[in-house]
Amino acid sequence: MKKKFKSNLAKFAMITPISLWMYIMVALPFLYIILISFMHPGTYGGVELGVTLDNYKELLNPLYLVTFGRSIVMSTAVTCVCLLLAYPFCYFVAKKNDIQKKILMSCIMITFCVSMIIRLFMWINLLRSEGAVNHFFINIGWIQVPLKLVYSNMGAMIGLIYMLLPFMILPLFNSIEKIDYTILEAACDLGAKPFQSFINITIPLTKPGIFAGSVMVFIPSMGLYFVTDLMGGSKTLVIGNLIKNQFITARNWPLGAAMSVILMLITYLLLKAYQMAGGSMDDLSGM
Amino acid sequence: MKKMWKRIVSLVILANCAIALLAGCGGAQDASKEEVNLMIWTEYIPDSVIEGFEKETGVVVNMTTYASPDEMLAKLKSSKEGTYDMIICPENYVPIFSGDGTIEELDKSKLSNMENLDPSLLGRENDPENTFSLPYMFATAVIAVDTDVISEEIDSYDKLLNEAYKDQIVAIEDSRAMYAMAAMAKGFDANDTSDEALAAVEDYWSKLFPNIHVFDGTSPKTEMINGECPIGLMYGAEALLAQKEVPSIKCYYPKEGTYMGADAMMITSASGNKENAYTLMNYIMDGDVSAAISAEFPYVNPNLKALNVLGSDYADNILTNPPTEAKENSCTLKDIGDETSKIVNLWTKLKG
Repeated sequence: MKKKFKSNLAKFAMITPISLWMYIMVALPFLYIILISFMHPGTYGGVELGVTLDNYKELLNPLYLVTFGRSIVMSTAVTCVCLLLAYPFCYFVAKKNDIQKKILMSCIMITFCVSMIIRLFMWINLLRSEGAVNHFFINIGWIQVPLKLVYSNMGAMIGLIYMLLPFMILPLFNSIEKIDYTILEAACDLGAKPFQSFINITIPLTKPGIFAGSVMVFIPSMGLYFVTDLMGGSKTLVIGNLIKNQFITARNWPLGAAMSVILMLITYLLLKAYQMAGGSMDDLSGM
Repeated sequence: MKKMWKRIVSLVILANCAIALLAGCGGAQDASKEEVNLMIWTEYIPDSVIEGFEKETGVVVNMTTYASPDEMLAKLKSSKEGTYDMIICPENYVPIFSGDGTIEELDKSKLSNMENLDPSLLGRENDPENTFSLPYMFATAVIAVDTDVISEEIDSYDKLLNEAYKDQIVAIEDSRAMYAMAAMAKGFDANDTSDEALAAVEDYWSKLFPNIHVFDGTSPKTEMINGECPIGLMYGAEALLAQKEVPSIKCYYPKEGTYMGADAMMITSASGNKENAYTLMNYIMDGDVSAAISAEFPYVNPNLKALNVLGSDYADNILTNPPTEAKENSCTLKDIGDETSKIVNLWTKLKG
């Protein structure tokens, strides 16, 4: 009995902090957001008590629907580009030996050591009209007029793709690395062309990674408003911008909260779809 | 022995968690320490001024900064009453805060340096008798033009609509200020949110936005300095800093009306350090101190003594000392309450 208590105490000590953290920092704010999304807005921010569905009705305003739609299209594009960039990279890394793998994957991870904002400003410096990239292309004569690489939709996309690419690479690499190459060899022996075996074997086997990576890229890309603010020159809006504007500029907390709830619902539905397609929640944690 | 060790470790971890939690709730203050809690824009008061005050009075200044008035409001609303003793924020918040009892009537007997302020800049519409607030600095918005790139004199909002300036303008990311300017461009009052005014602003914005390359809320000067945008619609102080780097930048006050806002100093009713807040307010209005603030952050200074200290460079530049007609032709932003959401929606519609 005493022994059991001791081991339970150790478990308790390990689990309590993280559970407390999750309850206080995640569950409570989440509940608070859901609650205020049903309340009336105060004139100068804050909320007035009362229950109403007006905030959700307000969401049907075409203004918001259009922005939601655009944001989803943009996130889809970002996810596709990330997938197209990450797949060959992971495939390439997976064929290396252990040390090379570790080095190459560290190169991806090491970017997290520098603050996101600083990395974005670096991109702005590289991509602006007078920046290094445009200078290079003008000097080698490919273009005459500088390209609008930042402060445009293009800029916002580049920012999002750059930010989220590691989240595609990690789960994808995980599943590509697990492929049993003897199967591919067998396919080759039986006369499959490389393209055929890629479509019929490699892709189906790496489906969990593709799904997991896509979910990890798609969801944050709808909310990373500071990326579109900095790289898109505040001209492109994602759902995150809408929410921020409602909370901060329009001082309509309940409407902002209702938008957040919708964003979380989208996230939930995506995760559900992912699970139903056979995805495992464990794969979402990356390595 | 090993188990004992495990048990000790787990108990220590638990105890630490408890301490961390409790410490967060308590916020215990050292009662013997004199302090004042100031809420102010970022980049608006030099560290040297704060240090000077702390040295002179022994009162410690705890500064909370914000990058937009909306952020200020959000911070104020979400914290306990009396968290901030002194607030420096745009004047249109004065009626709001005096109305809901956030700020108190100023005791002018404690503010002997008030006489340094320019009487023509006192008694503005938002606080006609300066009952609750005194001006800290004034900010104007100007059109800045890099004359090396653009030859036209862009001295009106209307000229910004020229199609030749596509993707050439950097503008401030401030829907309210941009609305005020657009309304003035169309001959409406800056605070008018009637349907006609909204339609007129929509028309103006729909022509202006294609010309805007970047909306930058934090540092629009950067885009002008690094040559990304040759035209800027920005605050005077930002334009001045850009001018220091790129001398070919010339600034104009638009004919249709100047956007001019004051930042007001206020003291909260729930403040626990009122005396210190008064001392700080009075210190800021001292001629030399005010000059030191302007030397670092060159906004329009209402302090006449400071203007003498700052000399001709400051007095001769239209950015730091706007011409009389620009001052007379300026708008005062008022509190428009719920109407703000109309502006935000229009802003979202045209940007999205």
